[in-house]
Amino acid sequence: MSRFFGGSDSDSESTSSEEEQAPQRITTNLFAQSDDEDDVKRVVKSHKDKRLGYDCDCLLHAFNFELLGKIYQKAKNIIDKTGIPKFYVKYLVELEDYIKEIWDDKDTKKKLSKINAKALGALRQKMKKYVRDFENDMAAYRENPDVDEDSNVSGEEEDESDEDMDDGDVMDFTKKPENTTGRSQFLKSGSSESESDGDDWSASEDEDDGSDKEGGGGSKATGPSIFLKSTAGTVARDSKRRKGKGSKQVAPKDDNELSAEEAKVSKDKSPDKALFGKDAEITNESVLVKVQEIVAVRGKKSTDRREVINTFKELLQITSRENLSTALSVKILVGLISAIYDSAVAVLVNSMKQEYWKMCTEFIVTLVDMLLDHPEITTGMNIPEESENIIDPNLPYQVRGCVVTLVERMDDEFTKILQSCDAHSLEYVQRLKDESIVTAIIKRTQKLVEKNNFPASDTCKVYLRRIEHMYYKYDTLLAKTTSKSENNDDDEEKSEPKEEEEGTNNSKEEMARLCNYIYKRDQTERIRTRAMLCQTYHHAIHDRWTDARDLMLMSHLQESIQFSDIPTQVLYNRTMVQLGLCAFRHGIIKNAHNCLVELQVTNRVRELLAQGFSQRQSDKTKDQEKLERQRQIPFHMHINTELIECCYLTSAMLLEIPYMAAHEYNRRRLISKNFHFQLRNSERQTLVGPPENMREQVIAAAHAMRTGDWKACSDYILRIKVWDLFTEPETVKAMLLKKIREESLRTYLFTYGGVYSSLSLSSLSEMFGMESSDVYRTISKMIMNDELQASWDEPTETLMMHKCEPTKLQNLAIQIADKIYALADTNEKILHERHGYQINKGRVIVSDWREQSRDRRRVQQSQNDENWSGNKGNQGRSGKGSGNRNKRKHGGK
Amino acid sequence: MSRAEIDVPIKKVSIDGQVILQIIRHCQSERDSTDLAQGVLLGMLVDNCTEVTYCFPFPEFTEADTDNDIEMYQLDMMKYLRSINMDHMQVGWYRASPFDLNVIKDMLDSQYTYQKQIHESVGLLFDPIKAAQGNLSMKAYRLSSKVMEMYGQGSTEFTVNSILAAGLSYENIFEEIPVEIRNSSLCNVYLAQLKLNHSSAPTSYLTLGTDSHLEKSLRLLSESLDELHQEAGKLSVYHKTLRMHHQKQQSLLKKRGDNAKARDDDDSKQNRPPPAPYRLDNLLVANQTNKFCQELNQYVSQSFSKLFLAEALENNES
Repeated sequence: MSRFFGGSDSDSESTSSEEEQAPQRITTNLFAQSDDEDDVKRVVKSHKDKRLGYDCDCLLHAFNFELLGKIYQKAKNIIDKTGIPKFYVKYLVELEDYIKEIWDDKDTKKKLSKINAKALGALRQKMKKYVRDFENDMAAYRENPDVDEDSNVSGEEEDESDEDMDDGDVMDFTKKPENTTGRSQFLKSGSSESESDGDDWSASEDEDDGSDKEGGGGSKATGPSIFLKSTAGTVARDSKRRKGKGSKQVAPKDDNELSAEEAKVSKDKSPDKALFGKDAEITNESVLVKVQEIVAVRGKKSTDRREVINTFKELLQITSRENLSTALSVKILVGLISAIYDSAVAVLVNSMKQEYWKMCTEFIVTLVDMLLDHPEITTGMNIPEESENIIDPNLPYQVRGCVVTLVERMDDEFTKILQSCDAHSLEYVQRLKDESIVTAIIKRTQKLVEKNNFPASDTCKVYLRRIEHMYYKYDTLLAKTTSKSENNDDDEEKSEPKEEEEGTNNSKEEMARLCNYIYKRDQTERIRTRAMLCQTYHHAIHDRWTDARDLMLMSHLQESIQFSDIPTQVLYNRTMVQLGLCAFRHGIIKNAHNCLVELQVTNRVRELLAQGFSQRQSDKTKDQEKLERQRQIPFHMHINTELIECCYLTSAMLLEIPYMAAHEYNRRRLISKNFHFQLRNSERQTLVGPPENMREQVIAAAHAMRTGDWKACSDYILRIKVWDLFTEPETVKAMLLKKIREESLRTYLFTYGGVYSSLSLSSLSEMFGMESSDVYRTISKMIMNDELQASWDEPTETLMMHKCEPTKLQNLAIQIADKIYALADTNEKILHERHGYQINKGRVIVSDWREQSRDRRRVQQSQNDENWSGNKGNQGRSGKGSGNRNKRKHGGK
Repeated sequence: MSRAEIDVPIKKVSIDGQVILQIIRHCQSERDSTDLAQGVLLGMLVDNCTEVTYCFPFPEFTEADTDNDIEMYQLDMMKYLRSINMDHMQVGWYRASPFDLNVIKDMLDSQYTYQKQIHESVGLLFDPIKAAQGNLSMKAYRLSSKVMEMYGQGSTEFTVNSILAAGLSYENIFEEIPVEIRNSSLCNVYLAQLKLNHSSAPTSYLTLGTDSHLEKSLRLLSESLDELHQEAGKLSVYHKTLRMHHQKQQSLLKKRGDNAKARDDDDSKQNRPPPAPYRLDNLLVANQTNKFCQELNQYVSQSFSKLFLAEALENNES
């Protein structure tokens, strides 16, 4: 031992222990306490056994030293605050001295085994480097090692139960290895003890005979304080419990020994029947200790979560009963809510149990209220645990924990609950009633956030939640729910007149306010995008078409939306649909069609709106399916897909039918593929029965419109039931009727205009049941757009048709010319291809061909022109020309 | 007939006036049915000329009829005709083809069978629509010997290269043979007399071709153009796949290096080049298109001359 501690022999206590004792102690201790390093130690031990010498120490010390360094790094946060623990300095000093001694002692050095000698060298180097950081502390220690006395004594006291411990010095030293392996050891012991904790508590609740153990409780209470003192080395040993707690709070439970001690404490306490002894003084500190104990246990597998929740509840009751600090309640609530979430994860795969969720909302309400009432309490995730202030009334209260996150989580869980229950059951309705609770909570959180000046990111998050609960609701409904929730928390509202005012505002302004804030302050692209989409959606469902369109166009989301996450894309799709429907209601058919077409073309509307699954799922894996299921939008937010399709088809019909009539021969592009597909399908049927579903009705209407039969057409269209889903079906129907008349008129003129030489305005307006001014307007527009070759004869109010439409024959000829052109192109390509890989053969020919084809094109162009001028003779020539061309083509081959 | 005769090309077909009348009547009577009227030509061979002296129609086939039944019918008919001392040698077949619409694959098939059995067989196409307009249109076709050869070898033979090698083009699949109508002297005398009796000026000479006829022709033309386009598309797809195939093989070869040349044979077996497209259809469609064009040409040039004539007349009158 003298060799060991010789240099630093400042300890007044004995140095009389045998030389071998210390090393032996270390190894055994190590062996007992950490299982991670079994192998290493085993080797060491055998070494030691053989030689019974100190030489093994070098290796061992080197090992310990490194381990210690690591742990020191981990604990750095706390150490920075509390200063370097004395025992650590002491260890360093002792180790340094020890190394020096061995190094200097040539004899012993010689005796060392090779490995040990090497280790010694390495250790010495490292030590030198390492110690540089601690020079001051060590110097201080060397000067005044007495301060350490305290810790020694406390160590003794603490380890009273340790039978082996007979020598303070030895103990001191053994303590260090304990430290070094402490992390793992602590974790282990912590978990095992927490297990017993749970059991003990439940046991204690059952039997009520713990009163006689108060003494034990008392002694236990002193335990930590003593130990704390020893670690911090600043607090007097005889300080009151309260102070002990306070210091503990400064450096809570990250210190290994401390938490180990704590665990021990709880173990001692376990036989207690209640959380606190009956006569035990319940103070902020005691409760806090309790809370911290439970929090420490969180996340362990063996923890009984229900027990944790119950304990939290009890603690909460106690705090309210005993009028303890509010901050403490806040702390407990935060812990409690997180615990509930934890239990949810374990209990159900998909969603929380209803009871849990209910419970959760209640507590969140209390929490938010509490925070509202006590603006002096600050919360936030950025508050480090060390700087939490829960008890000291002189300083501003600070509680770690983010209300916003808790609220968000609650909202998410609510969505999950809705997803997991059948949308058509009564249960869903029941669950949906809770939506008002959620909204209320979010509203209150919003208030809180506004009042307490939360950071912008949090505010944005809360605002977004609020927006997301608002955007899909039609205003009348929204007004109702807002007023209801307002009534519920009237008492609160009174104190804040400004808030109330806000509540009575309509949702549009509220929405605009929230969104503007987000636009200004948000840092993340996602929240901004979502807010924008929600606002557009909101505009759209309230028929503010220009606002919605402008916002959508300004956002430039069309270009970037495919890079965002899927829920946002879904929201984008939803917004697009609402925009389309809004345009439809306004009778802006073209825009409506454009908005809806992208979605409808794919045939996967449900999937794109996250309102269900498409039929073809075979190509999806289980995981994908699961993910998709998670993305599903709750039923009450769905947009009726039939309505979407109906609007889409109707607008397609209104656009396509006149277009088809106008361009009968050269239909180069289809406005709507989907619509054409349906139309062709119905044409192919041998027997067309009366329409049965929405789709057939639209198609039947389309057929009627083709002949200009607006009456039948509108009958079919207006008979469709889904129009009733609009908030104002009558106006929509009136709009449709007007549109149908107009488009039928156009179609009629396109189709049969050639038959007439003149048409009177009055008869037209009679035929189509339109005002003559409307007829006049429509036809004039057609004339203006060069769609109709006609002119008005004003005095007689007749439309004079000009017969300069190309005849069928001419149209055919044009068509043929086009086809020949395409054919020539294809042929050229083929030739190119063929000679492309037969390399040299075709070069000349190809270029030759090019010229020829260019000529041909020119000829054709002129022919086209001629054709337009409409002379039968030209038709013949063009036919001839095509024949010649064909010949040449084949000759070329 | 001897082998030497086979090589003698048929220079012309002379058809009895009575046969033509028979064909016209048959085609007219079956105008409304969905199938086109068909029948057998009987006659004999004189030098380079196929003389058609009699014909009989096929009855309208029903689904139940098998090929055997038709053959039996044919044989029976010929037997009876022989018994009344008519020519009973089958020298070809005829069919109605409005708008020159020769359902072209069918025609190739049946002409092939006829021509294989009897070398001198001709296919006679009659256009009832033109006949209704006052123009008799009767055309005789034969398959060229090259086609006969290739077609006999099986359908896979019609690839781009083989067609090129054979010097075959859409123009020379079918050979058109001049048709001569021959009447008995008695008949000629009667016709001359008829002409004398009805010497009044016909009024409808200057009637222009109607739009509908042109329209119909154009429609047919555009259809056949579509087909042609499709065929061209097939060819271009083939070229593309072929090129890809070549590239693939090149890269494979490069990868393996020279040492593995021995294994190339296996490789070529494994990755065969894509099958060459069947080009016969293309030839036929091209032929058809060509014919439509010729028809149109002819029709339109007639119309033109009428038009100019009418113009001149009108100027004279005024």
